Amino acid sequence: MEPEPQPPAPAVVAVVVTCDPGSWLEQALASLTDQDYPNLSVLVIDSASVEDPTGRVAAVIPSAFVIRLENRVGFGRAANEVLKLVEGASHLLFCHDDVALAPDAVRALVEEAFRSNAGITTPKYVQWDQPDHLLAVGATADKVGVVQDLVDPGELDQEQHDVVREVFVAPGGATLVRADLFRALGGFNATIDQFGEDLDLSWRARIAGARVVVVPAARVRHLQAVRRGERLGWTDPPSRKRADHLTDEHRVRTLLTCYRWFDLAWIVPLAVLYMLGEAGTRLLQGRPGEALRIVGSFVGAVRNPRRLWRSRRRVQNRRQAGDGDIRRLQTKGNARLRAFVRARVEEVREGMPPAPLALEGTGGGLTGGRRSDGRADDGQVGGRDSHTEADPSAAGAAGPGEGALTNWRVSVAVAVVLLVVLIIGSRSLLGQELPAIGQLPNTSGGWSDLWRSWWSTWQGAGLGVSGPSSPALALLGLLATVLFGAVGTLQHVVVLGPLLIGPLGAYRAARWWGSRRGRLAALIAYAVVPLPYNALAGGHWGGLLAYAAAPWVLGALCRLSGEVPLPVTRAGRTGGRVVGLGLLVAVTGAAVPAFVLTVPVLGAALVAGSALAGRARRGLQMLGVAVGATLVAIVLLLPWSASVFGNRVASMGVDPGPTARLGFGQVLRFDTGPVGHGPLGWALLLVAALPLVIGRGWRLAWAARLWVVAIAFFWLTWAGLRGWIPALPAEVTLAPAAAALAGSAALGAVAFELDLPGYRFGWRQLSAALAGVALAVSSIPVLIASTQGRWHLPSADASSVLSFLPGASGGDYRVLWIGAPAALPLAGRQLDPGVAFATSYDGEPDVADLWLTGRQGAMPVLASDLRLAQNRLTTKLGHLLAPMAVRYIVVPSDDAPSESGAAPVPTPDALLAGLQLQTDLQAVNVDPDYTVYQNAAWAPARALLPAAAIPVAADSTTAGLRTLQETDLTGAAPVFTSASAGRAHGYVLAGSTVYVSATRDAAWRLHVGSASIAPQPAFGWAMSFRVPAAATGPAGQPVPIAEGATLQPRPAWGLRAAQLVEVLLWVAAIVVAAIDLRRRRTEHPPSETVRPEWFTPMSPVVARSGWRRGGPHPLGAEDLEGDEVWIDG
Amino acid sequence: MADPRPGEDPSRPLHRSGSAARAPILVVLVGALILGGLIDRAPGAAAPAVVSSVQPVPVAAPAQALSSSWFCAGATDDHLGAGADRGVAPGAVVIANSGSAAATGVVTLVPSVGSQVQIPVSVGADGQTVINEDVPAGAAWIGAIVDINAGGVAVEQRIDGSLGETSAPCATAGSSQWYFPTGATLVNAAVVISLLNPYPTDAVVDMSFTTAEGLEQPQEFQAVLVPRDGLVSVNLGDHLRRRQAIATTVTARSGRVVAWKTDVVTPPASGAVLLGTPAASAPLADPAAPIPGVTLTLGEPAPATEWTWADGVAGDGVDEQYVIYNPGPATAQLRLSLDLQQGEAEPFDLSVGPYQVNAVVSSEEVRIPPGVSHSAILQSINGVPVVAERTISATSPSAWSGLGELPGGQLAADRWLVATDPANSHYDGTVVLYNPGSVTIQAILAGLDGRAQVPLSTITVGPGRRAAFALDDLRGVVDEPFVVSASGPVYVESDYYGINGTPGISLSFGVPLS
Repeated sequence: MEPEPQPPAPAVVAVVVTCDPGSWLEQALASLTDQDYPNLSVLVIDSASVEDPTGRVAAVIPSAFVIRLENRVGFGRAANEVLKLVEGASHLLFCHDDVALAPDAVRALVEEAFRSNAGITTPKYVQWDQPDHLLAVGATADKVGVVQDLVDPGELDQEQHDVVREVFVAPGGATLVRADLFRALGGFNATIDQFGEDLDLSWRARIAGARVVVVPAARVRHLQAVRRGERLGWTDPPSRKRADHLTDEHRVRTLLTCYRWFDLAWIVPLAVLYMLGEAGTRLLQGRPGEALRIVGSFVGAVRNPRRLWRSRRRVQNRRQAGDGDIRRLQTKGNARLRAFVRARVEEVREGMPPAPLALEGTGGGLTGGRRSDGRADDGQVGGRDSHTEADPSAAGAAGPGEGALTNWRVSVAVAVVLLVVLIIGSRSLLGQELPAIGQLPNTSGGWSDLWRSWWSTWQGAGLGVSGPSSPALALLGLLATVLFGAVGTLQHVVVLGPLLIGPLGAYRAARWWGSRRGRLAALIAYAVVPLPYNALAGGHWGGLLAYAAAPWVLGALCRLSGEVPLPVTRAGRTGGRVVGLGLLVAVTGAAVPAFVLTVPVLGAALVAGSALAGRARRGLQMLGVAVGATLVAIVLLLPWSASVFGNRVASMGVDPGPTARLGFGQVLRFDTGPVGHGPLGWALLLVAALPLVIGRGWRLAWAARLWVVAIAFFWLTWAGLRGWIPALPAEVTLAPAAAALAGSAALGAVAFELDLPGYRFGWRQLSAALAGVALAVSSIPVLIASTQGRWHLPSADASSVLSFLPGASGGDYRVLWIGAPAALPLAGRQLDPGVAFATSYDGEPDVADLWLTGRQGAMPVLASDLRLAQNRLTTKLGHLLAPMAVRYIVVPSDDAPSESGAAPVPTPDALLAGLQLQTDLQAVNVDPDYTVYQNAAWAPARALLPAAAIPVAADSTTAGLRTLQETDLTGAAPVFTSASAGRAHGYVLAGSTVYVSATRDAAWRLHVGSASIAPQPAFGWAMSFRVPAAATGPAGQPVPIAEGATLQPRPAWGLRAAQLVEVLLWVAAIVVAAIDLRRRRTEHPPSETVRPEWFTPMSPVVARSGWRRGGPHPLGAEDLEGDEVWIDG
Repeated sequence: MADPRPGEDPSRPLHRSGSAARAPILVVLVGALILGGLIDRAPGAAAPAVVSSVQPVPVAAPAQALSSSWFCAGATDDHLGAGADRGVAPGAVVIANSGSAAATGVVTLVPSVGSQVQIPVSVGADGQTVINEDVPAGAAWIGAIVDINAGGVAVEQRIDGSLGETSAPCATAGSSQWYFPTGATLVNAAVVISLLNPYPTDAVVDMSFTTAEGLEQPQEFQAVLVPRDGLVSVNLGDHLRRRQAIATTVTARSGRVVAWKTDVVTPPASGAVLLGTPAASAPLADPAAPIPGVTLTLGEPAPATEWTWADGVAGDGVDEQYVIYNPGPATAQLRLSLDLQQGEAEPFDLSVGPYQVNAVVSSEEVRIPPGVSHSAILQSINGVPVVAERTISATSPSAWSGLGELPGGQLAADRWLVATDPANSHYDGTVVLYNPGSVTIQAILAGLDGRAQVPLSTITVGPGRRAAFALDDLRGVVDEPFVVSASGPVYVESDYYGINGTPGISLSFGVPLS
């Protein structure tokens, strides 16, 4: 009996699409001829390659069919030719020309296709030249279509993924598709013919009810020639960008095509959110081009809506499966964010600098490649291994061995501990609105108010004055816009963010010392400085921001010194860096103008430190950079800076006065608030002193520089508080000192690694141990403070006790704030040293009141009146303040209401005693921590003056104060109520005199009907407008708004223009800095190098002559983590 | 920037050797730190004087002031009678002007019932004006708001009734707190708290009391409405009957007021059980105060840790007490130091518990010789603030008769203005100076005769000592207000005592001139 004949194997056609194939083509074709599948035909479709590959195909597979297209098209459209050419095949195997299949791959795919009844089967992809490294075993995608591999980059194939399973995406390369399914789907989407065609096909197949299955038994090597830049036409960066652009664009088209309407309603906003987040991240990374590309991709996806609509209709007409079933195969969360985080973690884990490394004498030859996406590019990425082989003794060539892994673990552990401490310490602040203590920003006005306030050229603060607003309002507005108007989140970010940004800056700045241990020391030392926690407790936002910025600025200045061991920047290459540093200073200075003034001081201190270290020339370099960055910042802050830096109080704040004095010891211990009291505060100084004791060479030199910086700012702070020099806010000047000490602490760790081995055992080892203990001890105050849960920030602000403040319906009014500058919730002018005064309009102040302009307006008049009360020269202060619309006077004696954890602040006792004498002020007993008076004599800020008051207003300057304090303005009728301090509409009476309690400005006009009335002087400083009877119709009849009763300042076109120029300057500066950053990252050969022998540790020697280089544990290149660091061999 | 340094050995020490480089660096850095520490320890400029945020005593506004205001209360509007028919406390406002120009203003009389009356006033340079506190419709109690368009003016309130004459400077500021350590409601003794609200909004006041019964807060004395520009007088005896000692705290829930206390002790009925006698200790006894008199006291707006009295005397019929009221929750540890005109006396150490009253009865202390004048300083050792008054009651064998009461002084000044000069045949007046400083001070007393300030007498006051001008010696030379000018800060107390059968004792500090 003859055996029953085997049924013929189903016909499979391998469709190989070629396009300018490289040398790999033969290997790819040969792998098809080696297949053990009995019924396999090969069809080669060439997409108009420059060289006809027919001969090469014929040489390997003589039986193959070759079709050559006249025009170059993408993979999908080329593969679709099969619909015209092939009939009767069971399955189609779509292959790239850079894949090599294992001999049994086709058989395994076909068998599994039948076994699983799969529409599409996909193999296991491995690297072309390292087959033990996985590339893909199927793939998935998130809700917005971002494809995510199911294996980690570079993951070794240990059969851990060898299980047949359904996947969402069959990655392109070698995809087996059931022929009838392919035909039913209409082939690949003609619009999405390359980059994303695999996602689109898989998704549509899923919708049509087909399964997509991965078959790990089928192994395929994939060269990824495009990604590696080895395919003709795809070797340059622009072409890679184009690929990214197309991938994103096609992804969006796919999701717009494949989701149902119901799901699109929430998927599209989610995709927009992701897109904006990614674009924002790119901007922050200094890659505006990529940000534009990302946005452009999104827009490009809907470029041809008609075609998109047709595609969508076709797909939805074939729908067999619901979106719910499909989403089960999608991954959760944001795949791109996850990849980004994974890449960063991977970098940290491996201790691998993302920058290429160069060997001296190679002429810039590339021995390493940047890892942009976390995947290794074989053949180009030599990394440290190459370097190690070239110069095993080079310090910078240490590989990622066990030590690196240990370092990574320690780094992560320290970071986690720091994060945990910050979260625990801030636990009561998270999830609720932060009280607007001191100068913490009160963002309750919403994000649009921020923009409006910035754009306004009339400043309502004080008694009103025309002038530019702080650019900080625009920056806050921008941030609030990015956060979709979540001003609560904005408040948390800008207030609590510095607690993270500062230590991160110290960590990053210390990278130049070449020691991970040093970086950690800097991180810890800066994190445990009591400064930011005290600033937060006191509501000193400026101190927090200065704390965040100081290490970045100091690090940048040091970096540009070019002093050993920092790489030298070539002449002509520093401009971009200076602009970048200026941007940083400008961002900080917009909110804390005093910080701008510290930068040149920082440069000068570095000069002095360099001179002490015997390298004055390099110090001058740093001074030049500091001055340059300061100038850039001032230019960027124009026109506001021109006004602010011409006024001492506006730029430096109110003189804190004698009550705010700190002892020198308190200054050294950063003892500015409730955190860090006691002798433990000295521990940080001990830590920072270590490199002075054991450091040698550049460690000692840099420690000397940083200590000079620290001491200079200690002295600056202390002398300022003593009143010997103009005082800047203490926490602003202490921040650079803290950053310098953190840097010195880092140097101590470096000296511990490099220098200590060179000494005989003795007291130096003991001092190192002592410094380690001191570092631990110095953290105790902060750890204790963290248990409190809110860093001693009071739980309520003034708004909780001033809720009785009325609206403006009874007339616009002002609240006069007097007291310690730090306790006022707005920026004040100086009444006396330690005493500030300010006004808010129609109630509590808002965020715009946090900054002053250089022009005081009529505030000196107000100060003069207050001095009358302070010197007990009047008992009718209320009458004197009535024209200023001062309805309430608030004097805080603590920085917050009672029983909220408030801290006492100095009070203007003489003024308080004077206020007690006033018979027209009545006390409002609202809280023991606030002295509040109500002015019974107040007049609305915009009012019709009583007849008796009109002559007084007209000639009060000659009539004198005695007349004014006898004038009763309580009968003044309010007009233009509930309006902002600027433009207002309302009703006026014919023949009346409209009084406006604002600094007289000729630009103001009252428009009544067709009349435009210019202001007249009132009370010597304010304005009044005489309404002509003729303009208002019947006498005594109100003029409706429609008739044009409008009060407003004329637009200050000059200021407007200056603001627009300011925006352009910022954009230009960002572009310059971004271009510079990009240039440095892509520059080959690099312009900045460091030398490994700088990081060679000393060895112990017997001879008296001292020490020598050559210890066994050099610092590693992984410690020099920075995009632009190259190491000379 | 410079190119990389060819041939440079980055590890090369900065100087000849590592240690050589280190030394100058350490010297400079450590030197900078030590220098800072040394300078910090050196005595710098004196810290500015602490100014109390609560005006502790009435102070005249500076001469160049645009305006000054004074608030008086606690008098009765009963001038209609004469001699013994006069009311117990008919009041008058005495305005003295130490300035070189006439001062004009308005006195607004505020009755406890009825309408206000405004009286324009003009006080000549170095002159005095007296305005009787009478309103046409009459009122049980009356106050006055004095608004003067000038500084250098002092305003006192003087009462001159059938129980004697006394005067006290009016207040210059309201407060939300007022304290009175003394008071008694007996069968012949009444205490009236007058609450004047010279401000433009209503005030609501609570009153609490420390008596032998403990802390008392009668419902009737809670939420007392004091209308704007109004006066409310509260007779404590209405709800605190038969209390031999009452310490009062006035707290304004909203607004602020000026609080005065008027003590009226009428002569005890014939055969009445007198306080201080054994019969008064009987369970059902209703004792009467033995010595009649009237006092007028402006409350203290805040407790303090130091109180000073320039003058004092005890024994020989004069019963003197220092009454200390602790209105806070912590026990006060106190020391009362006396500076005797002759000899020395050990200080008294005492403690006063929370919300308690304690007294040092000078006349019962052997360390204070009878009839020897003294000054006194009460200091809180543990920083707990208290309120303290000196009270005297005089009767035979003393030549004086009546009651006197004076809260301690809290402010020393170079110049003082005393508006009321009662030195005449009925009164024995003295001006006592106390020098709290450490250097000897020269002081001049000058009378205001309506044209100029006429120097009358000079005196020297040693550090920590007291000295007195005897106004009797100057009787006839001047009977107008006078100014005391000293070469340093002093306390100036103006006392006068009825003599020759005239009842009444007046104890008061002058008004410091800015």
